[in-house]
Amino acid sequence: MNPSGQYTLLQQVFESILSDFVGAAIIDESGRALAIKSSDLVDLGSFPTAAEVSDKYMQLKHNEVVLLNDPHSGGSHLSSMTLVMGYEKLASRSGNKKLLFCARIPFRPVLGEGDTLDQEGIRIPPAPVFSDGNINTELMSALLQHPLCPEHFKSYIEKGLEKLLKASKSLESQSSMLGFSFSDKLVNDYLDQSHKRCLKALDDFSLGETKLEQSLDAGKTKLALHLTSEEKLIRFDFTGTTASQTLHLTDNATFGACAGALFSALGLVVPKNHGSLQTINVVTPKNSMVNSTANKSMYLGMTDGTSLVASLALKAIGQIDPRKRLAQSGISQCSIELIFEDGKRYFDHNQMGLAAGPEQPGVDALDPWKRSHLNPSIAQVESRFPLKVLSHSLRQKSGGSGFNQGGDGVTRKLETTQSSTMIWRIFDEWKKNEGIEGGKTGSGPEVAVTFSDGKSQSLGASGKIELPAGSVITIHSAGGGGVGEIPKETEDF
Amino acid sequence: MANRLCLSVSESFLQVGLSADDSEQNHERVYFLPKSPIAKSLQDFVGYHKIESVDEVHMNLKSPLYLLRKQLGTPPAILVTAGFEDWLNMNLPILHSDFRMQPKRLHSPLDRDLVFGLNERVSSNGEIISAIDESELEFLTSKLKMTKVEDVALCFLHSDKNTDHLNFATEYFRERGFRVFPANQNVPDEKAAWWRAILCAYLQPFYKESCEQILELIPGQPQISLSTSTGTQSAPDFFELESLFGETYLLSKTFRANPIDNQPVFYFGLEDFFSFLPNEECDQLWQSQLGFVQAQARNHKLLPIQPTQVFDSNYWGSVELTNENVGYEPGPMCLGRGIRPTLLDLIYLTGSLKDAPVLSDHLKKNTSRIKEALVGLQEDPERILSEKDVLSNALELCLRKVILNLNPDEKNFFAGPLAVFMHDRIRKIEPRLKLEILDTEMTSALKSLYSEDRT
Repeated sequence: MNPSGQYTLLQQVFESILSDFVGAAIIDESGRALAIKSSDLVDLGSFPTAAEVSDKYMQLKHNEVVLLNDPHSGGSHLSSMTLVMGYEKLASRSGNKKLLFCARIPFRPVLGEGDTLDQEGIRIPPAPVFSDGNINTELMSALLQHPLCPEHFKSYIEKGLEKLLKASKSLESQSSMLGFSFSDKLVNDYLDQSHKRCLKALDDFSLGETKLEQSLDAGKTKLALHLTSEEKLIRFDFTGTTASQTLHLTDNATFGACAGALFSALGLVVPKNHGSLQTINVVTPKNSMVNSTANKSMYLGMTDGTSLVASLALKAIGQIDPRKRLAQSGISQCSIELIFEDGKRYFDHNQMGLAAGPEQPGVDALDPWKRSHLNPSIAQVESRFPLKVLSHSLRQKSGGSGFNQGGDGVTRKLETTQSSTMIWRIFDEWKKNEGIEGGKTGSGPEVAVTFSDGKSQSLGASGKIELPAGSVITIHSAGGGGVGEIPKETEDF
Repeated sequence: MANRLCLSVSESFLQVGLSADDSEQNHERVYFLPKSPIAKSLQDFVGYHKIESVDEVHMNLKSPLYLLRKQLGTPPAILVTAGFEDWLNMNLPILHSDFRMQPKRLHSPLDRDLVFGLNERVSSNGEIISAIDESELEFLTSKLKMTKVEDVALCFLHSDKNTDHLNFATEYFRERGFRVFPANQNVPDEKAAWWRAILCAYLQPFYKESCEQILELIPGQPQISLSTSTGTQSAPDFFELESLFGETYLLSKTFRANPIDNQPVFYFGLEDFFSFLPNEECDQLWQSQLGFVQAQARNHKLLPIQPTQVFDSNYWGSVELTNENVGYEPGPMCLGRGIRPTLLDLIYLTGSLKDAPVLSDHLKKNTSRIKEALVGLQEDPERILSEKDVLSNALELCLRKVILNLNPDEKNFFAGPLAVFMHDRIRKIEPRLKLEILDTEMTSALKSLYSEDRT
């Protein structure tokens, strides 16, 4: 088979192996990603680090697995576990080369009552969890005893291990049925071709540069982006960005956000691997908001924060290449957590309205940067928690009007039937999602509480509040900005 | 003497079989529907065999499945607990696995103007929180009559805990002449139950029309039976989703007798390629393109290549099958109908379609046009391949996609009219795989219908 046929099949094999996972990757021992399946922006940037750090400290053998969640070791926020497994069946001239499988195992997030990382969950550096066919029961036991150990931890990790072993076996059998040798030479050529083809796709981009700044934390934080589109590289330089009080991203997460924005702007499906990722360079000043090393809470940064960075990157891309201009989409997931007096914890987040574009209106209620969404059954939520879901619907007319209207956000109303503590995290600095070319802004996110006596209270960006039984929580996620002016005849009508 | 007429209706083919008590031989014919519509085909069959009366009709209706895939059904009115009118649409799958500037959800089969919120509420323990107001039902009735909608799906939260509202509303609308499809929930997720009710209503008009059309064309007053995922039963008045899996049930019955343990059978038909487990029990949930749907479903997995998918140039410059499936309208170029090459066209170029049932009667001599179309798709900048190499690479890519789904250690069982082609070609490139052909008939499901007893 000719090389392009071989690359097609190789891509197919990787995708089929990763298809069982929410977010996963295959990384070689030099830290190069052969394939990434991302459930969110963080995955795009963090898996190679997870693999590199795990193998550096543990020297993983075939089918040995490490567990981690530390964001600074290639994890995401603390509620998201990562398993890294060694695979040693890739033939090379000097004996078998190693590959590393990474898989994300998501759990229900904990928002944390304070602003330190440790309040958001257990922090796990790379720790051996599986070897010689057995789970490390000592480690598992210690983790299960931790007060912040997630619900269903053991069963979800066991399922994850099962899937990884199945993936390992699948790679072995499928690579033997490719009809050509799955060697490290093939892998090198594959990545090399990926790079060349991604560069070819970038040929379509206009060359140029632009600078953008966004003020956050009531003016105390600056997010600066200098975007340069060169012939063989797109550079996202965040020099000038300061530290933030509320948003903390790792450099991996920032890289993932920029990569996600660029690939989405390319308008074609690019295999996510080292080859294509080499076309991107991201500069993040240490200890800034986009490369935070502090022991600060990460949840908002790794969720709404990455969305913010990706949106800013898209805005910059649109300035260099006007064909890629879009209005602004909603940013915040409007995350809330309810801790009931019986100990049950309920977590919720919402999707937002998307920006309209020059050719079409914005999509309603769709997070553009997540590929797995939490929309549990209403019946199951009400059966499990002391809650009544009063409504879950589109937030009417929250998208900015225009020739192409912005997408509507979501309105969710929950009534508590037991007293509880509510913690919420919303990024609302971009209060209005801009329209362009005469299109109007979309509505910003809002959270409010109505108590059983009828009194209402609008809540700020984040906090904690005690709620008596019978309280109604109303969450409005943001609408997307519109594009273009509405023709006058339509307005009059 | 009892006459049994067996029909298997898919999107583009009608298989008809006549089985009589006084005859050992069954009479069968397969019609190509784009050339000979159902009415003409049935008339032809009845006339040819001089059938004066039919006692039983056993049907396998696969056509609603295609209707569903292409979203060509009739959106019903939907009454849903107020506050959740958008709930199903908000959960439709996202079309793209990669990040896009403007991602999209699967197009909704619902007409949002026909979705009405009803002020009723039952709690998670079955307690009625807001009772149904009959005046609201009255208002909705007049609205529905104005829109001339005949089918109504009822989707109420916690209807499994307390059926009072569902029963009341069902009765109310039936008395006023509507066909009602209540979401009787027996799975934890209400969305699965709601989709069931809605899809049954969505496919009802087509089902009713199909059954009426067939009955009009068949002499006598036959009893009608329909194959479903669990057996063959009296054709119900209202469409049920289980009939979407009738073919898989019939094929499972055919192949269960073979000693294949728990291995899947790979079926290579003229309309689709899929795998199924003949010995597997039904699932309570069907993983449809819309999400999970409450239905007793047979495991039926579409293979990564399909006979009427079109070729295009891929990211690497190779000629590869896309996910776009053109069916037989317009269809493959080799039938003189389409303008874009499909997998069937590539198979045609190998000479393997000349014995294919039905299709062989309609093949056109346009080999050079097809070759030109395929070769014109290659975009590999590193090298220009010869015509022979382009075609053989394209074919090998297709075959490898199937091979990646086969078991390298156990026997793999093939069936269907294109089973021989797939078997021979796969064996050529992977001789160490263990392959066995169970059956090469197009009419296996039809034959299984002959021996079906109504449950």
